[in-house]
Amino acid sequence: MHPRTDTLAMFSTFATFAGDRFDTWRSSPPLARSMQKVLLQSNVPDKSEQFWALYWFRLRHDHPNAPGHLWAYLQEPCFWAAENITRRFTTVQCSPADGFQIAIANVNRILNGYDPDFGSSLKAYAHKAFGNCIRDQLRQQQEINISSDWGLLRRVSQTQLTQALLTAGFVQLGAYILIWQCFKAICIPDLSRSTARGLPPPSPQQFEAIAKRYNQMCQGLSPELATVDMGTQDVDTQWLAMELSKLATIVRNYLNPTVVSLNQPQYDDHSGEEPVNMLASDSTPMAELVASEDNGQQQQWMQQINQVLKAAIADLDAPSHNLLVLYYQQKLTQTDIAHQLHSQQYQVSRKLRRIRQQLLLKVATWGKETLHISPESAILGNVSEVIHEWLQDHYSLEPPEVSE
Amino acid sequence: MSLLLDNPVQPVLKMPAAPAQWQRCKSMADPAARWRLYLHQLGLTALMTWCQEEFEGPVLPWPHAAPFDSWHVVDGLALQLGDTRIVVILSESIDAAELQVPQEWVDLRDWSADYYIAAYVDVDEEQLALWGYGTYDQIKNQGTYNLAERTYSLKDTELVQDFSVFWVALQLAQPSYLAPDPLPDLPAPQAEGLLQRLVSAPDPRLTLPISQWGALLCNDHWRQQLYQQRLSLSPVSIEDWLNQIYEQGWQPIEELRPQASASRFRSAASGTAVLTCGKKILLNATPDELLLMFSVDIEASKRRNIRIQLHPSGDSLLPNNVVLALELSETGELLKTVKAGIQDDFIQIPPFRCSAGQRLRVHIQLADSMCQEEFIS
Repeated sequence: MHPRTDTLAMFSTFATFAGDRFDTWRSSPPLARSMQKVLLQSNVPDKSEQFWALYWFRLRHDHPNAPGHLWAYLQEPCFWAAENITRRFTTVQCSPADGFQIAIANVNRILNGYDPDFGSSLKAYAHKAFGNCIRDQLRQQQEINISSDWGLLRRVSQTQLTQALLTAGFVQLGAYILIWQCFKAICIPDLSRSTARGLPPPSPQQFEAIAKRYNQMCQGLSPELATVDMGTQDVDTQWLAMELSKLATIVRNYLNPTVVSLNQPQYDDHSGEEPVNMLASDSTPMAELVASEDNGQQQQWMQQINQVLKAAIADLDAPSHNLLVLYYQQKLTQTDIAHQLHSQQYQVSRKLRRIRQQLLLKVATWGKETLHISPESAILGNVSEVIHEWLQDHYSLEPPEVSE
Repeated sequence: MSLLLDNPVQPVLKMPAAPAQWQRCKSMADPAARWRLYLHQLGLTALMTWCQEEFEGPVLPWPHAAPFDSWHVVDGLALQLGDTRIVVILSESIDAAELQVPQEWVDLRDWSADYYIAAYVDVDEEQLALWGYGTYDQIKNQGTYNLAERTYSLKDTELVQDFSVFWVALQLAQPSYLAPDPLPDLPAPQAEGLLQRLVSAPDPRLTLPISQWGALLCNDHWRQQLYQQRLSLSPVSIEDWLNQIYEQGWQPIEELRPQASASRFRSAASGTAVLTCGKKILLNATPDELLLMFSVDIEASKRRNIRIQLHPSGDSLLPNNVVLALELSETGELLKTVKAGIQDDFIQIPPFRCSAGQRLRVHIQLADSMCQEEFIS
């Protein structure tokens, strides 16, 4: 894939694939027109991509085209994250194009999770968040592949079960959720006989116990809890066994990977349909001002952090430094690093976490003392992200051996 | 964007299987409670090790070293790290996309915590992964309250998913929040009545209004009682003892007491008993454990000759006025009762004969503190 260099293209074109490979950047005419317009209206002509990213981010709930521009902008971090992750994790079959499809569906989630205060650039944040989406999906897929239908039914979340039922066309879910809860309360793995993920089908006695519990629960629902609307008749075991088996199949079908068509449009850009209510003309300068201020603050913040981190890195001992090189520069997995260092994966993980902790403590203490930034969890979380990205940048720029 | 492969800021702890503990949990009749007890025991071991490595101050399970009495009804593993309390919620849900905290850990004054941690447990892989956490403020103010489940939940995106942050926050931040109001104490007769409703309820946690449930749960005595009584729902069987299956804390006397005292108990019981089994009993009204003991002779055509005794744990005397009673489980008919005097070093139900398969209940009571054991002869 060739990166886009032109600001107009960055905020108005979308990646298309041919088979498993990147094909070309396809322009969306309405987005291109909209971007062209703000570029022309802008007081300062050559603003950076970071500026425009923050500009559209700030307007994302107020301007009809803002989500589209952000969607276009985030194509690249999404693509690189997919490339990177699918290359690193080979245990589950997933091509970069598949990874891209999985990740790009999470744009809204990622935009909601991004916080420019004390944080990093949207692009860097999104790169990491897209990667996380793909890794999470791969982990789940791995688990789904090796679980029995009943093991899966027991470990699905209520949110997933609800989604599965809705997808299968069910409307009244209350009774099904209750059946499932009763199943979970009765059918626990017998660890002397099976694994948890290989849970066998319920025995006749267990079906009976589930039916009994179901009937008890229906009767016992106190008015305040009776959100479930169902008949007052007792259910019999046979009916329950049937319904439960149906649930297991529905969940399995829902969670099994479906082939996503790569030709589906990722973003509905209402092609040809010119947005009439573009924006109130006076909102542009204000948004520009805010974005410009954000951008300035962010850059200043990054420069300061850069100073603190450089000093902190210089204080690290040689093994720590070596570990950072392996992880951030050579981009090895923790398992590979453990192999190289004749150590265990969890030890590598712990060591990496300790280093990040040490760096975070330095930055947070500095921030508290000089900038009076309150060290609460949410802010520290942003700072920790910045440190992660800083380490990535820092080590990708430095040649391997160099360390002071 | 929640639990990830190969992420250094989400600690993955080893959580080895414990077959012995699994066997012990089998005494819990309710399968969901049995599983919860097992998972929480494994989780506690893993988390204690981790916290002790990462935290410099004292680390203690809360409210006491083995809180089976809360685990069997409520999800959540509480640890006290110095002045800070954390509650770890163990979940097996594949998507690991949500932290769901039972209301008890948030709205009960004694139970509420500073931090709530989401953990994903995989018993097959013998792993526990910590993937996110939130503060009390977040749970209370941003969390979604689910009335049917009585839980507060935060989505993965609302949690901090970086545990290097957690330990730094613990060092730097002073979490402050408004503690919820304490619940009024329940009068004993009312609490007794509520307990009776809960003993056989399918889901005791959601049976009563939260104010009553919370008041029972916060009281050490009532919480213990509920656990004891739910535990004794499944009767122990003398047939199992003959097959050397011992559950719910019952043990052959040789294992329960070292040789010297074992022989003392044996001779006190009966020289010819085929089988002598004992169980340690804790009544809230006494500081020391008591020892409940069964001696069984098998007679022709599967009839049993059973002798039931109550001993003090050491060489001391029994507490004055402690009562040992035997009744029929089905009807509650009182068969026999004996009470200890000031000088008794043991009391016993006189030996009786019955056929195999009879359901009986033993009561031990001192003042308003009571415990019972169901068994099948």
